[in-house]
Amino acid sequence: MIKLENVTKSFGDLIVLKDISVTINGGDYITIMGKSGAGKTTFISMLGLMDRPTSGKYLLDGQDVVNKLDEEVSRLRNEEFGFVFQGYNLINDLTVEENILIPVMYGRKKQVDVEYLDSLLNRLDIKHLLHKKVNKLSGGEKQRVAIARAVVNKPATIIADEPTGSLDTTNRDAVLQIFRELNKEGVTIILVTHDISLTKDATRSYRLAMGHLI
Amino acid sequence: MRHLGLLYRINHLFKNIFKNRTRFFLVLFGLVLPGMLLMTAYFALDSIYYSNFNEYRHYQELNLFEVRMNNSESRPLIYLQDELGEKYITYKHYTKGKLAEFETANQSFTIYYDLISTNSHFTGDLIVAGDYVMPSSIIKGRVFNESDFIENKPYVVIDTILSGILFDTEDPIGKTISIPIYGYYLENGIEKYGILRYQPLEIIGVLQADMRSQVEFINNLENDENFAYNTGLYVTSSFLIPEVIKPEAITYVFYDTKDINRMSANFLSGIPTGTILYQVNYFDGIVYSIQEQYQTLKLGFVAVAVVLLLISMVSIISIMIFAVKERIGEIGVKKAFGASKVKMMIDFLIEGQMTSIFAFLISLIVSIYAVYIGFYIFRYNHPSLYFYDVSIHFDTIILTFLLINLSSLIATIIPASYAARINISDAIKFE
Repeated sequence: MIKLENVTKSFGDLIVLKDISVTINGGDYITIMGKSGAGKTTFISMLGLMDRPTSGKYLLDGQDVVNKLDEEVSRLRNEEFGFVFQGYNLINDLTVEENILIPVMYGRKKQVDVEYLDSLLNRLDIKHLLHKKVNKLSGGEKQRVAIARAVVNKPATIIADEPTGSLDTTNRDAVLQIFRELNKEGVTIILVTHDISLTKDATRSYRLAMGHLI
Repeated sequence: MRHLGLLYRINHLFKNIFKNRTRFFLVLFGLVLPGMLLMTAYFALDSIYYSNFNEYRHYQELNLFEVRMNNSESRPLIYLQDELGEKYITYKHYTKGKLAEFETANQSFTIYYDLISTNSHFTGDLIVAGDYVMPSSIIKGRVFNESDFIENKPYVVIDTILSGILFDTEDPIGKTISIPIYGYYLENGIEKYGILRYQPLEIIGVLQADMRSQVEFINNLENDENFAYNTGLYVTSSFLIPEVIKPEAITYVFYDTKDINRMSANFLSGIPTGTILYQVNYFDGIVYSIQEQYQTLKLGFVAVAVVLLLISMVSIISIMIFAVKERIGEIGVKKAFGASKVKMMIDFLIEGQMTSIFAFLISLIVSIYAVYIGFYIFRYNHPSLYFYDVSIHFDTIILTFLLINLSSLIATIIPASYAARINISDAIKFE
């Protein structure tokens, strides 16, 4: 469970997020909408422990993570969260497999559940691409690789920042279907989108405006 | 379950260092150049040092001293003979060369010679040679006599091993051997070697080869495919071969079998005041001076290498910072998926270390080749210095390895800490 209490984030004099309080339970499917520059990316960066709030409390499963050391925060990010970005953010010089295994490489156990990975690859239909360099893939394939990377460590929460923004309708639907299935399996989905049609799957939808979460 | 251990991570980082080949080669060059120069200079210095040093150490152990002439006048030599008694004096010409080569189906060997002109009548059963003092005795023929000295006869005394090689069981006495001599001359103060000619010498006696030579020779004969035997050819001091006279380079080695201290005291007290025609050098002092020069040169080389490495480090820091900026997106992804600041820093340091290991290996290989080729050419141009051999010392290799690695480590710390401090959100957007 993620609980934010009166969280504010500012960059110098610019206050991006103001006094945000929200609770996200395990298994939730949350969508966050808002205009460009509303602070959506800043908000999910904080949710995903990629950034720290300027003030307020962030409780992850009951423990305050705001003042934890970088090593501990990195471990939590590695084990609790998976990220899917609009621009895929894959490392072009590496193969599909190497990209997918990045979270495992930086994890504590460094153990790949081979059976789980195999089923994941089959499910995302990317098994045949495993040894290809990612710069040879299409947009839809890249996003499926990015999803595989996000879930390889079996995180509790997936944070997706406009994951369908660069995809055609077929690939968009395929990606959303994967999110639905993962959510059914108990994974929390936090989806940032401009597309109002994506909110139909959500258990809750929020809008960010003027730094407030509505 | 499959484990992604350290090797997986190193393999992953290994790919990173080749991402931008121009950058990789620039960093590599920055480390290879000083490393290569340092190792080549050290190997060459060690080779020259140890080629000479062992000989001098032997003299030192025997409590010898040498008199080095300041000019070509023979008067001091006469004076020294009067002072010391000529039977103790052996002149060692700086004349060495290849006497013969033999080849069989499965073995080849080469005979080198030292030309030693002596006043000794071998009556003391002691021979002072180029690099040893040994008890010996004539076992065939005869020793030099007074008329040999007076008449400047081209006579030679050889040892038993050479006699065996050249004449097997035949009696060598009365036979003639020809020694190859390169005419030596000075041109604008630079040593030059002229045309090769052969000097015939008649064998009048055969000395018992010393025990060390015999053991080494038999051992080499049984075990080595290719080996060399070094022999001494003794001629009278009066028999001067014009081509091999290098007045300012002739070394006179004295040896007193009974009381070296008394002799040196007598000798030193006998030098007329104000006469500086020769220098007396004890081997203690010579060895110490060589060691000092050797250490000074070594420090000098290290200083030059350190300066070059410092210059390289500045370039490496700039190149690596540029590399980090180029890879911001990748750094962001890795940090987002759990790479902490420390892990990110370690990644870059490992990449730097891998580059430095490459640089070290290239430096090592190039240096070894350079010094072997250099010495081959050197010995080819100066046949008399055949005994110069390449010495490669482990401490030199370790020192260079440490210097290259340390430079790389220091140069990578700044870019690595820059990479570690990159904000994830900004880096992700960078993509």
